[in-house]
Amino acid sequence: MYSYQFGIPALDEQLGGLVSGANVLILAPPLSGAERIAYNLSSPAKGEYCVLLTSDERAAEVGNFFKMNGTERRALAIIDAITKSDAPNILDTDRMKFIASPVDLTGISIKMSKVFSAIVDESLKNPTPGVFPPPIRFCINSLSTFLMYRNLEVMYQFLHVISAKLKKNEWIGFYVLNNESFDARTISVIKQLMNGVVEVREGENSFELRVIGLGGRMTPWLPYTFDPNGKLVVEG
Amino acid sequence: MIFTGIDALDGLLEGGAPDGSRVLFAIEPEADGQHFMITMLHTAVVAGKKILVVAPFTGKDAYLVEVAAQSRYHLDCYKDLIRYIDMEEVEKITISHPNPQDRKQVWVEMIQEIVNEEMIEAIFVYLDVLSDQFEFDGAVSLFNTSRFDHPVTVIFEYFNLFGTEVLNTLIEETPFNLIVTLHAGSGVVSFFNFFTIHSVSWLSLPARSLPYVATDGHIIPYIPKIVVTGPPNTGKSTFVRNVSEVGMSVDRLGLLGTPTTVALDIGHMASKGFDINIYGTPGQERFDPIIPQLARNAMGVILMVDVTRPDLMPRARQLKGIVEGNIIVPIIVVANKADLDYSVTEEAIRSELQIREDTPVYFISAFERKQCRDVINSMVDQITKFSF
Repeated sequence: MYSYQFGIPALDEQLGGLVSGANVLILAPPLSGAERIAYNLSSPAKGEYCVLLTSDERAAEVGNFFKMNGTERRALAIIDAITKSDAPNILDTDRMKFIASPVDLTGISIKMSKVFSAIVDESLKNPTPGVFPPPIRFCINSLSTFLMYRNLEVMYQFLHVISAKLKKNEWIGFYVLNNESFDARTISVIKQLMNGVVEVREGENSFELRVIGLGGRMTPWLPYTFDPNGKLVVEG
Repeated sequence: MIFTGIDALDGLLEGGAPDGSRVLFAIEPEADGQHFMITMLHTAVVAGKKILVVAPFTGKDAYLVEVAAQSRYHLDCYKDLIRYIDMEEVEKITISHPNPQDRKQVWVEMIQEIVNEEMIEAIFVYLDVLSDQFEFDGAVSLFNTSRFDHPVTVIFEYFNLFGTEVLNTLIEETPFNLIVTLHAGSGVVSFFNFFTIHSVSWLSLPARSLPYVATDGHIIPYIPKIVVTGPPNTGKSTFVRNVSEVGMSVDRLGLLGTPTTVALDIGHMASKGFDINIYGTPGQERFDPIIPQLARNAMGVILMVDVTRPDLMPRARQLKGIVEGNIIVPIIVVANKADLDYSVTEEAIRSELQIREDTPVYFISAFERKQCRDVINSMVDQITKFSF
């Protein structure tokens, strides 16, 4: 079974990485840089891929983060659900797909499927084949946006389909949810689909995170900051 | 009538959707199924129908660009024929009428007014956001055709996240004249799509699933495998070669100096809107171990017999048993070499091969291309329309 690493020394030391098939909720207040945490955790290690569904930032901005942090171009695919509403003429590329709006779950599902297929196909043609299926880190940078547009039951089912697919293929998923915009029931329903939660709170001097679940463990609250490139630096 | 624009599907439906009918395309996750409604919409507008498109998930411009990119249809050429209700309009209604009952009434009146005043003949509705707001049956009821003063066909697309059982409950409460469900066959990734005509009110059709490819903006239904088998020298390779637009045989010279198939014949053709792959098996006994592999997942079997060689009938029956295995697929018997003197009758063939009464037996000459193609056309009907 493939083993994923957080890529954050403090977390890997404490937790020893992530089990494949894990779905992790990043539950964070506004302005805590939750999407940056998600990008850091989704950054593909060598031989891995990242598929990112963005409903919060444009694909160009998301791509920029990964570029600045050394992700190979072919290792990243972005499904952008916001750019097309302002730039309707924008066209899909191999690694960037554009959806009319976060409302369009049908379009998202089809384009996600195409992106996953393309990555798997490409990995089969790779002259130096690695793990099969190729390890993929999937990320939704704002579940909050989707929950504003679609009802909870539909989103639960949509995420259920995605998380089941990730589990089946031993891929991992990270999902950012703003914990101040939704009631306890909504958060609890979404948590049902997760194996672990990265909780974020405002500490005395900086924001802090802790990881809960993922093998029944819990880290202490760990202060974190970002370097100028947005790289997550966790103390501890 | 509004055609779906997909030849194979229109063939199965014996035309398209009659005026005033209600059609549902239910797409399961990962199924590349949006082309079905888009193709039908394009077909309707090309036929000069006045159309209303209700697309609450997108702006009109983004919708037109996406349709052009995905399906190569330039709907912006038909400005006078298409009226859009897009995301912006839907949001305005939602914000200005927070009470769902009031909002529903606004929708009903708006649709009624647009359809009656602009003489709309078909409405294409993306249900998802509306079904979030009004539940599935409530969303469908916004387009109740009894409120319109002329026949209007309403076509819905619904992203069915909830599985077949829930869909069955929904459509039990809200009947449609035609329901086509779109599915994806998934392994590590989705590797093929298939559609099922779940129900159709104006015809008696079995609910049969048929694969399709969505490529270059077109839906191409396909039959991935029809197997042609039979004793040696019954004309299988000739048959496969004659029906195929592209094909090849893996032959070598036999002991008698004539070619004999030593692996398989492969042919590709189009019939009744389907792309079809045809696989011919070797007929000699020493190849029997590979025949179950060649026949695996076949959607139909053509069993060839030589009407001048009644002595080979037991071998034909043996091959029928091998290809059928434990699966049930339609069979057609082709009695080849009917252009020569022969004594075998249809009754004798039926009796020797122990085939069902409704299994067709065709007397042909495999050298006659048209006769061969008629057999394939009949096989497509057997696969798609009849019980077996």
